[in-house]
Amino acid sequence: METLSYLFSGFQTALTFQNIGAAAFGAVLGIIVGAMPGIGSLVGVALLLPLTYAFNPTTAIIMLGAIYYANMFGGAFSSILINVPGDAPAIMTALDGYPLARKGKPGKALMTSNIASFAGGLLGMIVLTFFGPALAQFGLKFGPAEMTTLMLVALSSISWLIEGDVMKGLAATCIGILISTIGISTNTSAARYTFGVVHLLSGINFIPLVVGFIGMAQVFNLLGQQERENDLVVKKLGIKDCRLDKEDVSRMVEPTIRGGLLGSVIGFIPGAGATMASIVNYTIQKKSKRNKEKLGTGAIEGIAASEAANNGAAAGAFGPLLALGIPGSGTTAVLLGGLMMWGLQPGPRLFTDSPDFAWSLISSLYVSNIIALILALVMIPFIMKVICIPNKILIPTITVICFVGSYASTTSMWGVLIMIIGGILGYVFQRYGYSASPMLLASILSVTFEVNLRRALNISGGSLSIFVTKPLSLIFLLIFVGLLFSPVIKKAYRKSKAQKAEKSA
Amino acid sequence: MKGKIKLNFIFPVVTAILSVVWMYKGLFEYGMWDAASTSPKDGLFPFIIAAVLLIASIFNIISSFKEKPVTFEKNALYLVAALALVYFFTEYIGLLPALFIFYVLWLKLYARVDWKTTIIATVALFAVVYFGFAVGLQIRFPQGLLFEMLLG
Repeated sequence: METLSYLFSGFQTALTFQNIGAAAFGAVLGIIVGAMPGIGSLVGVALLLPLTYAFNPTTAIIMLGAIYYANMFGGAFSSILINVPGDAPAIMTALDGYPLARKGKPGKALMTSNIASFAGGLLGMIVLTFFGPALAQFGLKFGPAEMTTLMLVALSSISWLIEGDVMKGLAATCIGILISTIGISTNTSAARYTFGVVHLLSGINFIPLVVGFIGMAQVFNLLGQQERENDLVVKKLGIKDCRLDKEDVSRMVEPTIRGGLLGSVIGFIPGAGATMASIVNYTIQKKSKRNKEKLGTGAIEGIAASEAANNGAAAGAFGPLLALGIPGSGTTAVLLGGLMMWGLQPGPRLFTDSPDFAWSLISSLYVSNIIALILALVMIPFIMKVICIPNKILIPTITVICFVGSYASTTSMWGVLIMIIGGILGYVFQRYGYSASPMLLASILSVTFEVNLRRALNISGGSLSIFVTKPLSLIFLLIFVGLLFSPVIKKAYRKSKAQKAEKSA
Repeated sequence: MKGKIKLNFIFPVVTAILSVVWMYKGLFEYGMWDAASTSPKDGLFPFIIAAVLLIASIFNIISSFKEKPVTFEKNALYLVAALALVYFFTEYIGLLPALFIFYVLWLKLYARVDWKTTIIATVALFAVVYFGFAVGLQIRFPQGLLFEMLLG
């Protein structure tokens, strides 16, 4: 009951005229950038982050949430209409969405995607509403030792496993942490690693860094990509063409409910996220005997399975983000940076110290879900034009947005310089096969990591035994060690499996 | 369009150098441990992380010789030059005019887009930028020496 009353008070904040307007504006932008094949959710959230500067903290956070969430809706459009996923989680949607569109039913594919996204997201939000505070309650038991080892788990889970190459992930993580050590030390207020540059005293500003590292780096990447073929399945499409009949709806029910629940659980796991959720639910659906059509040939079940799971995970990802301060992906790491910029300190104390912030954000997700559904349907004709914008126009357009956004967030050309250097660095990172997500995640979590490590060592007088004598800390440490060696175990498992297959052949 | 140059080892070497600089400053300038108060000093955390980076960098240098050659777009140099020029000219003509010139020149000279599309795209983008940022968010963009002189 207490949860519901908090949620209700959150709705009172979220449903003011200004906040609904901010959510709608964020949803429009989120859908547009999510639908653009060259951009995707990470770049989209990074580029739109400076826009939130005009608002008060609560409105800004509501807008950020709407941008992030609506991105998930937008990602499916280009998957279905031109077979180019706007974002990684929408890859599975393309497998059935595009074939269904090619069969002359793009409206049906889009409607299935939007309804499944809405329902999956709604289930994810319900899970978040009831389990988020419980997770925070559990997090309140964490002391500095537990927080330090938890940070190790959070950094390693996303950085080294999801991204493939362990050593490159580790290096990217360390670079992110070292970048955030520049500036005034949070513990002693002394300057560190500023090399005599006055601008560096305030550290590397997060927004221009992200805008450059993600947005500008994407511009460099687009330079090397061939122009997409304008393979739009239909010239015109309206809401009338998007009707679903009873049978279509009944085919959606099972994959959508399973996707929403499964996605929200996966979203709660740091390092997992929307892409993994859509792959897992799609794979389960593929094995189901109740599919009316074979998946991969334009089956409604396939679209629903993928979209419900990725939106469920997008909502579920707010659980560890708000309750423990751990982002599960690059996009949520950028989102966390935005939240922290507004003075919000996600973590176990958030629900007790700033319940108005936390519950306004959660309530606004419900509002954004409804707004995004309506807009995704209303904006279909407009989005069809947007997804056809060629790279040669996108390149200078994103460049201008990067300049303007990085200046607006710092009101200084120093911010623009950080963006340019960040862009070049981001491009170099990509060419060398280093992923941006671990770097961003590490730069965000670094302060929490250092503060808790120092506190823990302070308490123990420098003894490392504090990390193994506390049960929770020991558990996190064991998980960390498990994660550390899992690539080796996986490799050995694959090798033995291949050997067995060879023998049997 | 791609120029193949074997540069794989360079980036891990740079990260190794970076880690050594961080370790040196952490160890000798900021200090590791305050024995009097039995608490860590400002150099401890960066030192540990830099040491881990050094180890990872050494592994990455070794494995770089087995990897496919890293390639860079030659066109990226044009973009870097364009970014530098916009940054440089902002001081003289202001940020928005510098970006406007960059945008039109890029579309016409590099992308070879027709005039109609160039005009539509330029007007649409700069209307969004002006009304969204300058009017809506009330951001005062740098005017540049030229406009400051003209406007007093």
